Amino acid sequence: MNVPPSFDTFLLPEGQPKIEAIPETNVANACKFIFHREDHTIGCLVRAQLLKNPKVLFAGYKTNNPFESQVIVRVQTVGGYAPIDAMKEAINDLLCELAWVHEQFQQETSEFLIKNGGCVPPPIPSTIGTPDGTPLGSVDRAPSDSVDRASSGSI
Amino acid sequence: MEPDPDVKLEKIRSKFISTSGPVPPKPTPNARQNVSGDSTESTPRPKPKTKSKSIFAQRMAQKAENKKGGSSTRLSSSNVDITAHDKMAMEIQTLMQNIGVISANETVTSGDIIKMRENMMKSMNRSSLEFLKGRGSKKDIQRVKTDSNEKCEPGSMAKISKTESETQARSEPDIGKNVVENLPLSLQVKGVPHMNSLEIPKLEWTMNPDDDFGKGETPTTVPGDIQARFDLNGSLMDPKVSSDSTWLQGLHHHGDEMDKPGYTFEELLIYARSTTVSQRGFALHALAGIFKNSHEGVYDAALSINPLNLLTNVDVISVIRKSLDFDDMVTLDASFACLADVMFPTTEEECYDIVYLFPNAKPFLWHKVTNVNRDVVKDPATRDHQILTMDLLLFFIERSHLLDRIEYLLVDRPERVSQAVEINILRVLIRIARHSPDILLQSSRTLDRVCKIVMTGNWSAISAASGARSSGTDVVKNNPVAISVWLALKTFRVLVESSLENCSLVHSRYDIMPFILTYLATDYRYGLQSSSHAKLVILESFRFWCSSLDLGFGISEFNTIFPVLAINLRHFCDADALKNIVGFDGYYLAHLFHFLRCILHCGERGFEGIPTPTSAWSMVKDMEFFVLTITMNVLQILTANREDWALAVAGKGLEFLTTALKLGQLEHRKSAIMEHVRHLDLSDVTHSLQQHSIILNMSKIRSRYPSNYVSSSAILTSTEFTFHYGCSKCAIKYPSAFSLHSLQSRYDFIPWTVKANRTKVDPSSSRRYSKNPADLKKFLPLVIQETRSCLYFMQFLLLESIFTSSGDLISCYIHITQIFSMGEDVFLEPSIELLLGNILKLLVSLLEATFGKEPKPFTSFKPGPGLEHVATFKDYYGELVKEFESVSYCSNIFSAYLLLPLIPTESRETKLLFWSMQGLQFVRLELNNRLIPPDYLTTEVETDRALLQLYTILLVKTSTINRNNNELLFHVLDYHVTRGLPVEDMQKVMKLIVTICYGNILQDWNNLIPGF
Repeated sequence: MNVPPSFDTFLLPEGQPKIEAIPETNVANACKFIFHREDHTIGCLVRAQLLKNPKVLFAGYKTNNPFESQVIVRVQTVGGYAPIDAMKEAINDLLCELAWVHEQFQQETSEFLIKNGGCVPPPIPSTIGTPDGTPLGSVDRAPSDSVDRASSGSI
Repeated sequence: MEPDPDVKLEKIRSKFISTSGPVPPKPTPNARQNVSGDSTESTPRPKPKTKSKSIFAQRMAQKAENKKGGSSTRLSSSNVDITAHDKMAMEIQTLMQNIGVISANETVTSGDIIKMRENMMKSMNRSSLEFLKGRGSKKDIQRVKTDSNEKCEPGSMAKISKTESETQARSEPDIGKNVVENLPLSLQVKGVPHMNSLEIPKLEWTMNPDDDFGKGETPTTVPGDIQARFDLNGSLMDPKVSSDSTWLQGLHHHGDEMDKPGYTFEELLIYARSTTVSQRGFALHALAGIFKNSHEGVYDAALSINPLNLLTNVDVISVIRKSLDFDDMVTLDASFACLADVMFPTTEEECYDIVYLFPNAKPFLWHKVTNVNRDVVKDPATRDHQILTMDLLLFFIERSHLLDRIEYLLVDRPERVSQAVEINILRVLIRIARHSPDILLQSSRTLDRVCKIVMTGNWSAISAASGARSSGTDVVKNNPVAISVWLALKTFRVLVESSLENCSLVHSRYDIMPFILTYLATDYRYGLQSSSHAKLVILESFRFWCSSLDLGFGISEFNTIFPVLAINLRHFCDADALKNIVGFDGYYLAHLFHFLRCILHCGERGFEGIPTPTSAWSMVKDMEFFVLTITMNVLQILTANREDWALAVAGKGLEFLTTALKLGQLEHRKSAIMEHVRHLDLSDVTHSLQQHSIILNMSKIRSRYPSNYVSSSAILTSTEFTFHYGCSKCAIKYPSAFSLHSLQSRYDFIPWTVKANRTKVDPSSSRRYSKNPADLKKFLPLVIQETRSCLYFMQFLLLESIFTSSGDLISCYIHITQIFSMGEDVFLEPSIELLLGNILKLLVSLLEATFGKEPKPFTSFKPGPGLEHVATFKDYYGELVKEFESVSYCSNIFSAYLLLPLIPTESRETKLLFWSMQGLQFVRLELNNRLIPPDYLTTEVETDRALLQLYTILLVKTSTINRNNNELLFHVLDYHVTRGLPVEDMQKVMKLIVTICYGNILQDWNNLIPGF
């Protein structure tokens, strides 16, 4: 029926920016960020990160429709601190935090394998992972890689 | 004894006629057998069937018996001994036999038939032949008589016998349908029998020899031809009417189907281009009638295709257009009548005028033609038929030089323009003004002439015209001068309504206002009572002035007319006068009220160049008392009298009072008005008004233009358009607008739900708005305007304490909070925010007064009509909370509305929904905020243990709520925890605090528990 094609949920059209910032006209120091081709995963993360910032007065997110793969994050900050700065800061913090999580995960895994006498899996290229471990932006490639690996192993 | 031959023959004939109408039946087999052996022996015969003999057969058998024993040759056709009539009867009998044999025998070839026919022809007497030919209709007899002088050739006989067999074949299945056939035409639903065989050669003589038509080419091809004949007025001919009865009406003709009177559509198109004046005249007159009837739906039951659909055909249009170029007055008269009937559907225009009386309908009546690219039309590469499929009026305006022709006639050849032509031209101009006002304004010479009509048609002329004919009874209604003036004024009114620029242009170029004043200043109650068209001039003058006032023109003239209007108003204040009121007085009053309201509006809006405190306002203020009295009286009789004028007076009166109320002039009388209005059964009143308003919507009455034509029907069918301009809502808006205005504002419950449905409430349409931000952006001004109006109305309802029950209040709460789900663009709009704040204060006070100790009022609320999309309050509240988290921007108004259901008696589920939300920190209300008093939430101490634990966690464990940012919430939690928490729990809390040791929380806690 009206279900968009599956690739439409992650494949950004050419020329479209990933994030759009639309300043609010009704509210001071407020801005609307539209994350294209993203869903609650990013929305919830960004929102939670923004709310940790004491200078952020309001941070909410909304998806207009489940079929529309875009998240609208609304940010309002205190005077003298632009919402775009808050957003940049939040994303940077998130990157650091996730990198740290990734690093910790790798470390723990290798320690576990060494302890149990197994071999260490080759390190995944340093992409930023989502909480469930899937590399961002390579959702479609991950399964095929594993299949390739499995088939080459059998040969 | 031998019966008299004349009587016998008459009986035979009567027998024929009585059994199967005009067509004689086949001879029965018995009769055939009785005589067959003697006449044609070579012919093979079917076996006789054992069937009871018919009277005819019995007679023949009896006759054969009588003659038995005599010479056998006496029965032969050439025998002269028997009387002539007898012989004729026998011959006929023989012939019938043979025909019967031929038709019964399937193996007979056509060659055999011709041969047999030749034999018959030779053997038959001329008189017998004549009788046979004439046994159908009288018309046939006439035809045969004319033919009988000639020699009977085999070919002609073939034709006759062919028609005979045809009629026989046709008559056989019809025998059982005799009863049905005798019924009038109206029973035939679709498809009048095919009667349009066009004989071009017969029409050639009407043509100009230089014209192509005269050279035998097929002139007009009409796709989907109309299979019917019309009389000279465009009425459908009854196919069973013979030419005889219509001979005197001039409907007979000499074509193939000369027994069928009337003219087909194609014939009329050809006659309309005839070189003979009278032929053009009658044909155009008939075409005008056809189009007029088509607009009114007269042919719907009889024709499968509406003649209006043929207007997309270039040939049809060119016939109409070319007929305007003839110079004689007969054709001019008929051609402009035809054009006006094509362009100007009277019913629709009447509708517009009626709807004009009612509020809120005016701006939506005419589809503004903005989507047509005029460059395409001007491009010579675009074919005529392409434009016709786009827009009929555009073709006339852009392609056909119609305006030039009208200008030439009106200005350069005024002697050619009779009163009737002038009226029809004005009808055309009104339609053009509705379609392309800018183009009409460019042809200034035409408009000068139209203005001259307004100027010269003063009261003396109108009175003279009505007085001159007053000797008759019915003709009095036809006052051509008044009609001209009325239509001319209407043309200007339509131009004025079109835009501000056009309005200023009209007022700067044409000085119409003095004449408007003249028409309005006349005391119509004396002298003009009989002429309805003269009264139309008065109403039209009001409409023109009101339309100008809407755009800020013509305010200064009010001072002049004020005394007359005041006198008229005072006249109707008398209760006796109201009893004697007639329809026109009612409409007069309604227009007058509308006019006064326009004056008030003008002052309210403060147009540039008009000093605000004009004397006009004080004068209107003086009239308020009259309006109030009349409206009250009309409202009292409204329940008994449901006539249109009463509704119009009441509606317009209340509208005026509403405006006066809004401007604060009637403050002291508000309760009195409300008292009256509240006693009205509004739903009942609006119902009858709805009946009236539906007039545009009802398929039987509404205009029947094809959808490419810009008119109300096109507007009603185009969904995109209705969404934007809400025109189809005209029917909905219009009764509701009445009830709205009768209360206070523009919107009632009906539009509230309708509008809410359209914008947000209805799940399907709500997605359309919220899902597509571009949509909301596109319609944002409209949405905000509607929302504002709805809120005004809600505020009024709350102010007047019309909501009394808790159910009403909660449904009101749900209605209002739906605005929050329309997005921050709407509820953060300053004017809406202000209104929401006012309504909130009212709601708080009413809720406090209503609920008292009632347990769980919100949870137990059952959504009523208009809130079908809300399953339970809990679900709705949950969605609202989510909305708050995502879009609220810490809005105080939104927060306050969210807190509204959290009264102490409310159920735990609702409270949990609020207190467990993540965006709790966005509720940044201060303790002394003006929206929601802290006492509203702290009338009783919370006793629910789970809730108290949650409160404690919120206060102690997380830093979500703190005193600096969320003062009100902190106060509420503090209140409940300190008073409601049991002692043992409190000890646990102490331990918790000590273990957590968060500085700021400890500080808060220190304040909370003194001595900690």
